[in-house]
Amino acid sequence: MEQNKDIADIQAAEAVFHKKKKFILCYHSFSVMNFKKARVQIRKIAEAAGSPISIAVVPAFGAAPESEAEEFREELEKFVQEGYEIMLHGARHRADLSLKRSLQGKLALLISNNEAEFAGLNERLTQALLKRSLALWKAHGTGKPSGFIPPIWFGNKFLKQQALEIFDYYEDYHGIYKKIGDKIKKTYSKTLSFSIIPNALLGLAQTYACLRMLLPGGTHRLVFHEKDFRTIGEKRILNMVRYTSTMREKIMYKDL
Amino acid sequence: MSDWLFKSWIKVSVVTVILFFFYHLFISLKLEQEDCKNNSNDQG
Repeated sequence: MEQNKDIADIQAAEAVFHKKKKFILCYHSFSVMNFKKARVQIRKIAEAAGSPISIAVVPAFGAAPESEAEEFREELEKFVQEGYEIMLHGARHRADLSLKRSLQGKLALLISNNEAEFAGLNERLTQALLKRSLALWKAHGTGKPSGFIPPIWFGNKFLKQQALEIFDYYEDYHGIYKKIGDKIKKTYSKTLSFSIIPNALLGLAQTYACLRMLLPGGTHRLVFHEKDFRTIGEKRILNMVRYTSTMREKIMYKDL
Repeated sequence: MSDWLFKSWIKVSVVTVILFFFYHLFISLKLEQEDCKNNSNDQG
């Protein structure tokens, strides 16, 4: 009996130690094009994590019929009501190739298969695209998103400042930024994502992600896309979420 | 000094690779389980 109490005490102490470490769980690129599949995947991830997660939404309608757009809006509304956190994730996600970009931006497009929408844009174009993103979002009529995540996390030297004028949070590969008064507070956070990793390296990437979560330091972001359910598989994704949840406390951006 | 540093770096690298390999085996098994339960949830 006494031994059982000791074990329970040790387990409780371990649980407290693990929960001091935090992580963010985010589903990326939820859009009118994929919401029917994605909504099921998001709810499965949230169930494995034990609570609602953050969702990065691509607000562009594209050529979707109005009935689909309406259903998408309703789904977003439902997520908000259920306590999910909404982040804005670019305007279309895919880059407009007619826009002028810096050399760095062109390289980013090459690496990202033209998905890095904001990479290498100048101040004026960045502002215009950011406003377009927000306008597209407002067309859905579901309140203000918590923050802005540039597609593929490739921004430019103007985007962080401009995004933080509008949103509470902005992030890149290395951290999450929050504006407090005139200062910008950075939270060290690694992006653990699998969408642009070649299939042959996915196993190692999953091990690396779990290891980063096991080791102390940072409020890392575990990110899943619709594609991951095909490449990694649902069972592995949900097990990764459960495993990470035993080591770290899942929070949202607004809890930072 | 540089020789000592180089040997130490080699040793640390080898140990890191071995540890990573074993962790990789462990994680692969864990992620392939039918339902890897959340311990903290089990504790209530």
